[in-house]
Amino acid sequence: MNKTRNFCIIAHIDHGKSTLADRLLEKTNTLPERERMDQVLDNMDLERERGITIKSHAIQMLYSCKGDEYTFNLIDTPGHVDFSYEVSRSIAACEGALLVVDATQGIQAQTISNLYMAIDHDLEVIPVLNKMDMASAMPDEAKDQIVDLIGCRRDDIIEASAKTGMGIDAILERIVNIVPPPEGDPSAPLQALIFDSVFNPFRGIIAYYKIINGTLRKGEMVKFYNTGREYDADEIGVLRIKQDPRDSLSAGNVGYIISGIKESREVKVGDTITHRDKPCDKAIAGFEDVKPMVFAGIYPVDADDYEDLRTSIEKLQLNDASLTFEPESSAALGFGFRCGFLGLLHMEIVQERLDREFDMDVITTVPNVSYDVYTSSGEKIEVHNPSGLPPVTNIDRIEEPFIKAQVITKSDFVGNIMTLCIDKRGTFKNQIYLTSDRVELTFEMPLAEIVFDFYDKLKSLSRGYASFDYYHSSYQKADLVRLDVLLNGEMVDALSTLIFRGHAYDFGRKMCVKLKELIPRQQFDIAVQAAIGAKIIARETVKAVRKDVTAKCYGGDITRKRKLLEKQKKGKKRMRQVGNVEVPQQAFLAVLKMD
Amino acid sequence: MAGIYIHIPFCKKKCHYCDFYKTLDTGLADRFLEALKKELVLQNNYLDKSIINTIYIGGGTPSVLSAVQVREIIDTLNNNFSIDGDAEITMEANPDDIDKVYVRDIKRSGINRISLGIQSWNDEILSFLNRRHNAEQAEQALNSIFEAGIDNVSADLIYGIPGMTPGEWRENLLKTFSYDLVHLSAYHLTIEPGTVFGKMKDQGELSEIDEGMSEKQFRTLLDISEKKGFEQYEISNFCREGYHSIHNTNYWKREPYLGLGPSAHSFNGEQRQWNVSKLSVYLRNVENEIVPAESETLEKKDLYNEYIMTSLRTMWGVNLDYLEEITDKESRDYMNNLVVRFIKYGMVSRNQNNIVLTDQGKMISDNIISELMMV
Repeated sequence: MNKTRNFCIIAHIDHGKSTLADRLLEKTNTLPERERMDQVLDNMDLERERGITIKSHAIQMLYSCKGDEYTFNLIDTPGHVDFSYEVSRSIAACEGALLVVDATQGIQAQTISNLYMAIDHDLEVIPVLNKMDMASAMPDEAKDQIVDLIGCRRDDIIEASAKTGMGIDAILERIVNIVPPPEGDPSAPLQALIFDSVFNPFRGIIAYYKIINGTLRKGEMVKFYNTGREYDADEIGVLRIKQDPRDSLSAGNVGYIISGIKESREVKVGDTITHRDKPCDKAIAGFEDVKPMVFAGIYPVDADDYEDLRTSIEKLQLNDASLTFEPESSAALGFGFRCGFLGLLHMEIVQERLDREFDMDVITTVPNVSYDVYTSSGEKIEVHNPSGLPPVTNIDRIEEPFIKAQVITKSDFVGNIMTLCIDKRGTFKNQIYLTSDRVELTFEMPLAEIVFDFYDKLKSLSRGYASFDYYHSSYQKADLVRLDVLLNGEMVDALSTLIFRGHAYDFGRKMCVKLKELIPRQQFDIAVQAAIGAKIIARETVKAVRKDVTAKCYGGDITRKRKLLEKQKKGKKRMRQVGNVEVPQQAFLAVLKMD
Repeated sequence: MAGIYIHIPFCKKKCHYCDFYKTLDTGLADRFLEALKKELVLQNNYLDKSIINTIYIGGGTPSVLSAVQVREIIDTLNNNFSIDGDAEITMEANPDDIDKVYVRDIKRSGINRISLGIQSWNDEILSFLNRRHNAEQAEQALNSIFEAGIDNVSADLIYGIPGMTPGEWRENLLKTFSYDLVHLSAYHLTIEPGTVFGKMKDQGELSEIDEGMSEKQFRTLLDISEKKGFEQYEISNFCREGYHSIHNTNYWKREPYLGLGPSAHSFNGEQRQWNVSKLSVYLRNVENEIVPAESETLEKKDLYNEYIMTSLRTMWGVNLDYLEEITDKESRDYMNNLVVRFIKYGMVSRNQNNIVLTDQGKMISDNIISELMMV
């Protein structure tokens, strides 16, 4: 155990985490030449393309230092706000962290919140300044920020370049010298922390864990503490480039377990694995049953694909336990599913995976957060869909989720960002100057406000110089109204939104304008209205087509003309019928695209 | 009954709106005529020995040919096909190409109907369209035609031209109807890609006229033609009773036809075939005894869509029994269901098994036809 080092890498997207990890694998000869593929840790195509590590993994390396051989377990962390709980569990499995900062960009909000998490878990932090080979590197400024943040000495910061290999040896040595070996009693009752799981089509769900105490042997009966489920440990082992089976693993080590688990929801990140017959007294602290916070309807474009869509979402769920879904139906969209996501990025990833991996053509409705509705009879209902709201007369109050939002930006943009956050019902909490021109702003604001267009606005207001992170804080009472959209007098359930009363008029007006743009003209005028209850608050009209006629249709025109009109009809076939109005798919996400 | 279309691909000047295949290289006319005669022989089985009841020589500009050349074409046709003694034999003509002698000569060759490309009676508009004639020449041409003894005469007019006022359009129509014409083809200007107007549109120099204006001019057209005793038998075609173009009506009623010359299309009830749209390629192929055409066999859905598209534009409309005959019961039901809402909107009317567009429906006929299609 003294020769084991468990660590993770904390870095902002694109700051070079994956490339650095590859260099470490190379230097420790973990990666045979022929299996080398850029960025081994990101093994979904989508991840590689987006340059984001969506799901964390782990890998073991062997490193010789002064005649001793050390076992390194690198535990990867997902790099996006939506997955902060997963990050916290990965961090909890480590004793050390490499803080990787891009020398050309300095510290970003994401990095800071993960760093705080690491410090909270008493991890030893090794600061690394990456991309030092770049001409645009600003090492002095970045070093100031690091020193300010973690209180280290300037010369503790390792100058590195994952691209050229600069500083990699120094990092490996520092891991040996600074990161403490794991503590824990190999003979105590088993306690292993699950920090991730993956789906394998042949072996079922494979859970990744770190053993805190005790020893796990192949073939033993184990119990997952929080779910109460019991399994036979068919195979255990460590994670090299491939799984490397072992007969036993004990405290301090990181490994995998295959035990015929069929569904990803049985394996909850943060859960504790213990022995069935000799269980530990208590679970490892910090477990949370992560609940999706953002919900949206997903419908097949072609109604006949409903069952295929169900199968696809079920398959997605196999390696994405945070995705939830339940069937729902909409008058406008037919049969589909209400899906729950950790956040907006998670939603985008699911949509994209449905498209790429399952070739499913889907319509996604406007996302909303999960509301707690208290009825006048004192009952509490979780509402995931504006149309599921009880009648107004039965509602005592509605509470909505709030977040603590951290924004790091240049001081020039503070004013703009303040205005944006306050506009989004944020309350300003704190402001810290990280350096003379980099500021960390903290707000408390409703999650619902970042679900819409917050990221895009933040980006454009700060010309890209703002990074953003959030975590959930509490549920608070909200003054919300349900805003409905009517097309020629018919309500479009899929377009209803729950919105802050003070924003409703402006929002309704913009929505009508946007829909007017998106709904093609038809044979009659179309009234586009926004309403709160029975009260119409905004209206636009899509004027009827008055002329659409080809002058000539003779022998030579017939084939070409027929194909042209068939194409038009095909375009319409993909639209949804609301009453007598045809609504194109993109209209259902219209609110996300409003100015 | 069947028709023959002959495409004469030559023009002396290209009109800015025209997207038919044509070339300015009139020097190739003799070689083209030789090839055309050869193609006639190559394709003389396409119509399966049907009696020909209509021949149409269009283009391009057929009147760039000499009367002798026109005669050669008709003679070759007579040698290869069984042509009905009462067949309609139409030729398109440009006003400044023809005089009384020319018309008399082509009449002797068998031409019994002339479609005259007047387009407008306004010289400014004619030059904007890049036509090579003026209003006075159009007047002379009409007189020559009547004097030479052809009385089955159609005029082509264009409306919906940017800059043209409703008053001007009205004047144009009245002037046209002051002649003893039996047929009128009135086309709303469409700006087609690949034309000079198309390029002007891309560069933002020209745009289609306002819809309200289009509608107004269309209404003027319906109104005046009706008052003058003309029947609108197709969206863009009007005639005195009994004078509808047999040739064009054949297209809309699914009669077979053979198209000869570059870019010409043919139809035999089951498949459509189209000649290559390039004179040099056409010549090379035909001179080597190769039919220069591609073809497509029509499936049920294609038959349905074509029939809907062509028939709804006419006053005869869709006949459901006929639709079922060429497709199946399922297609008939499909049509029956879809058409209900358009009847409700007053855009389509139904009389037992016949479905026709109303005047209101005619203005957005493409929209309606597309909605009624099967994809």
